[in-house]
Amino acid sequence: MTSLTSTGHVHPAGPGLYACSLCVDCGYRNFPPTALCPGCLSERVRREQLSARGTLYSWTTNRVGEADAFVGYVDLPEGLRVFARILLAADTSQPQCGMAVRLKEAEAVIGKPHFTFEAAAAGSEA
Amino acid sequence: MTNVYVAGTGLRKFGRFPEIDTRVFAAEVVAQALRESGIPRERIDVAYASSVFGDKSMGQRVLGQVGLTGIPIFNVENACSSSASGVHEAFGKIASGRAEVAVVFGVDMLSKLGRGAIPLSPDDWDAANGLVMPVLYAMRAQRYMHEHGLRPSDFSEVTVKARAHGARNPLAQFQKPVTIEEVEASRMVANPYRLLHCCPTGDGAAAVVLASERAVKEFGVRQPVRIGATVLHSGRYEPGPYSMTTSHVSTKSFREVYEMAGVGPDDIDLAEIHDAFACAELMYYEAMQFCRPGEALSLLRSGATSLGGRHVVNPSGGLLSRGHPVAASGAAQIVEITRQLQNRSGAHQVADARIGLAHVTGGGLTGFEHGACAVTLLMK
Repeated sequence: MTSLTSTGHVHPAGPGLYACSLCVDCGYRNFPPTALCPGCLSERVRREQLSARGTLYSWTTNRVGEADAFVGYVDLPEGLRVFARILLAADTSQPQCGMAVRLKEAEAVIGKPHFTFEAAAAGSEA
Repeated sequence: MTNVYVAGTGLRKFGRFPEIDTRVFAAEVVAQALRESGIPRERIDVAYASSVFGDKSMGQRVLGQVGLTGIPIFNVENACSSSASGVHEAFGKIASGRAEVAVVFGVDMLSKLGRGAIPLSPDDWDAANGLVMPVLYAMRAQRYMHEHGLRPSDFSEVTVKARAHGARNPLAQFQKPVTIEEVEASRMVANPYRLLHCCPTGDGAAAVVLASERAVKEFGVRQPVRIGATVLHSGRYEPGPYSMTTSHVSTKSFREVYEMAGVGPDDIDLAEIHDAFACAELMYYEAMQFCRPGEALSLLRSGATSLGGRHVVNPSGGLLSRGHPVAASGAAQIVEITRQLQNRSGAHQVADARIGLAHVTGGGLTGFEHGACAVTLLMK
């Protein structure tokens, strides 16, 4: 199971942190979620949980707290891209563009990646 | 439509000067541009001023120091494209006959902010997640390596070329050449980027006076350089996957400028482009159509983009070596190209330069490939 936690006090995304907005009228998905649809200006917009599985588009290293960590852009099946911390499998030394990842944790702490993904074997269950 | 010319240029050496008042710092380049143009101040119709990290109403603050107030002053913010956006607007105003002469300047003094990456808005999602510009550009570089089979050390060759050019430019922030080994020995910032793959923060100011054909003739401006075309685009908001290796907004902007000016990539003798980080230079060779996707490293290694080559890129040293005081960069590039076309550039002069491009992007914003892109084509 995906572990989802949210401190919920720091960012407009608030509760339901790992979510996009979905326009009821035109189907536009937006991340971070908004109350106004950029596609058709409708205000009939609801929250939708994001898929836990994605593909790492690209990566680098960044200071997270006291140490360097891998970070990257994860592309999700909803057609959205999220910035995230990336954890590796024990036998690998660096991420690979195109690798399969799955959500491990979501927690809003300003200045740090709110989402953490870990390497996932392609095709395995989330 | 009247032709529009660069009639005067002002530029000071970029570097770190935290003790100087920003108004004094920028007023000097505006005065330089005004003097060079020979156009009296009472004939300036409009001014465009840019400062991304400075105070509000920077135009009034600076132009008050050179007795140029009472006219319409537009304070233009468009991230790194700010002062080039001002040039774009001034060009349109003069070309359409609504003004004869305009002053455009950009200034930023990043040394007053301390050291490290420039601050991004905490309201931006990615920035709130800890993303800074080196991280964004490093992800572009990693993806470019993935798609085209480059190694991290390949990017060091971009820095070596930039520093070799900057060493010949007395106005560059960095004037010492570096070796591949020195680049590789600098500290890691964001994999694959080491410190010397990143442009420095610093202070700078640049100004241009633009004038109509009639004004150029009336005041006997010496060596006016014609603006062949300007293009300004914002990036497209796209919360979903987009390419980080093919810049759509830059590619589109270059293509439009070529069409407007009736030239092609083969006609470009020199270009000042937005090499904020080393891989960006390679990506923009492709966006300018100097080569096909994936061939940029070969083009660099061929010498075609170095002084003496057929498309000299960043003869000033570019952002990596001349420096990148955000709002000043666009105007500084246009000053550089103008002086090159006037054959005034001394040790970093491009031989027989007739047509040059200035290109800036800007804005690290969630959901945008780039916030803005401005391209200016100048010709003899």
